[in-house]
Amino acid sequence: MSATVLLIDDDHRIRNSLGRLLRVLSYHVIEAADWNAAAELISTHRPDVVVTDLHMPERSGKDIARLVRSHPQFNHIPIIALTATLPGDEETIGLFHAVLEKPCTAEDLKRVLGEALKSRPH
Amino acid sequence: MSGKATWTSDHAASVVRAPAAAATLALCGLLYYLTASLELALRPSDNGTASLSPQQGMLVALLMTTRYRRWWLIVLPVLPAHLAAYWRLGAPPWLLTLEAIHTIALTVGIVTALRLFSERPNPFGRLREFMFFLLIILSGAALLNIVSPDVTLAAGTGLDRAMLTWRVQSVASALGILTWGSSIALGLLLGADWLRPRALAQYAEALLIATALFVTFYLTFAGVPEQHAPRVLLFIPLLWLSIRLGPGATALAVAVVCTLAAASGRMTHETVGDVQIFLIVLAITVLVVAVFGEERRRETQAASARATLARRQRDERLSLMLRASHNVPPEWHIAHDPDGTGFDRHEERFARLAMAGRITASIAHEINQPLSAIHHNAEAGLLLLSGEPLDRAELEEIFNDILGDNRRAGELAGRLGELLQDHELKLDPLDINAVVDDIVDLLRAESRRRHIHFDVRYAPLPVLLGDYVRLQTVLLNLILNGMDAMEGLPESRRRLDIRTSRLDTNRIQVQVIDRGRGIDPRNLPKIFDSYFIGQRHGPGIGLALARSIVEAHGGRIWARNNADGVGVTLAFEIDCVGTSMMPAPGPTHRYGARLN
Repeated sequence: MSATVLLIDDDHRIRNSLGRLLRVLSYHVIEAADWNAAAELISTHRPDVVVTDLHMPERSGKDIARLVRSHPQFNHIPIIALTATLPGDEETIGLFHAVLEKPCTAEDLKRVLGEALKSRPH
Repeated sequence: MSGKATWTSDHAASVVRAPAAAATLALCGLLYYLTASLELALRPSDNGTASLSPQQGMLVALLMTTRYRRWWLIVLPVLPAHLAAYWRLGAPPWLLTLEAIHTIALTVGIVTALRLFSERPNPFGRLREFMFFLLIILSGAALLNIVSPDVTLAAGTGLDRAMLTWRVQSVASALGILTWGSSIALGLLLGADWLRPRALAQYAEALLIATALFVTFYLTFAGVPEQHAPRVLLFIPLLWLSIRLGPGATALAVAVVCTLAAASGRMTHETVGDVQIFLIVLAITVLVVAVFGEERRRETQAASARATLARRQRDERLSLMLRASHNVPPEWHIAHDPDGTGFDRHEERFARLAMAGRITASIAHEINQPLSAIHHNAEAGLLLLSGEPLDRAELEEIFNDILGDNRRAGELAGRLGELLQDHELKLDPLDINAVVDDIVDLLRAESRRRHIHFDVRYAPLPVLLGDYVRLQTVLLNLILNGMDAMEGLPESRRRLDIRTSRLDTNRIQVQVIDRGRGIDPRNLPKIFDSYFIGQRHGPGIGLALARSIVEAHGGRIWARNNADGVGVTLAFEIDCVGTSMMPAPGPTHRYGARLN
């Protein structure tokens, strides 16, 4: 059974294209445009990994990572950040399993997701 | 007040013609005679020693403001004028001659010392130089009066008498130079500046001070001697005057007060020393305060002038850089205004580049989104191509998405390019709603970055004859200004309303309403002036450029604080060319952060 990836990005173009790429890479993809939709999907679908944009208007990728990390049921879910501008501070980087630069190659995406899924507690 | 002049002068300027020399000699002689007669009149009736020496002050002032080569014109008439003034005392001519020589030696000695140790002829502009001036006067008066003829004669009758004469004469000299000398020197140094018209409030204040001075002087020195008020009362109006009106008026007031005090008959043999000491302390205190105030005023003015110069130099540098980087012919200069916008091409371009520079990072981010989508779709397409069976429908969708994303990136790049492009004022039929829509789209990423919510509402509007790019510039300015005003506010309050509306048959209005700090009502009329920088950001010409563009379209721009006391509305109105309606792009566009 393929792993479920929750993809969070407020831009429908990114959700559409990256979701397609993830599906071609054989992941099961669920999509959210903001934290409200993401929170709903996390509790109903229990994704194996979260891929989120860093810069979003209401709740940023950092806010989402903190919210997930603080939840006792979901704090084990690995979170991967996607951003056009890589953050320079360790605090932001430390919140994520990995930070990928947008656009990312299929190869990088596959590798990072593979590592993230392996790191999950069984 | 002249502070830049130096003691040195060229030879040619110091040559004096014979008639002018004769007139100067006569004038100096007359001045000496008058001031010496005044000194004589001010002597205590029961004491033969001067209590205040205005003639010495006058001589010091003339010598301070005259070149070395012309000193003879001042010094030469002293002897005859001295003899004429003091002849009535019945003293032997040799004694009067010695007194005149001593007066010359004392005044020349003091001014020479001043010139040797000070670089400037005007010691009233800086506290350090004024303190040096004081030191020279006090020490010069004390030292040179040791050998005055009166002291030497008094020494023959006893040391105590000689000491008293020396003390009274020294203080009289110092007081004369400090009061009469300072006021005459300042009058000569300031020249016509003394007489320049002042504000009515200044005349009123001077009158008030003069009244206070008269009242306190009357209470202190005139009236019934037994009911005299404490002399310190005089400090009040004089300190007020020294702080408000500067060293010139202070020196004059002090000279008048000291002269009237000496003439009041309160200086008897017993009290002369006491009154003299009070007067010299009073004069020194108020003059020091006045000079200190003057120094601070000058420093403030100099700092302001430096800031203005630095700003002008910075603008010139920017203009040069702009010219160099865009290879604009040097014939374009500030007066060149081919578009009738009130701004030359450089200034307008500078303002547009400055604005675009502020949002370029956001636009780059916005362009990166469709480019990333193209990349992801291409990667997915390549992977699909290597698989079996070929999913043609998915591949077709991918190619369509790539085309759509490419179009979006192209549109954004095109809008940025339009904003930066340089062209003559070009009036085309346009829909102002489309202008607003494009700018709001361009600012979408910037509004997200700043967590500002845009609420855009369009009314159906008639066609307008205008310059599309320049009207974009106006809107961009107004919107960026509103966004700047909301920096630092809680996210829930960062809302920018943009409204288009029709005022009457052929006039349209665009309003940009922020919820920020507001603008000081005193500054509201100035915010569209060039280089006015209020509480908001920007180079200070953005809103001025917006005004000139709107006015070039025959419209008007205005600003007012919102009626509910929160934020500002910036708006412009322009006439339309007809009544044919353009459809509104949509009922409402909402971009940016969602309100909590």
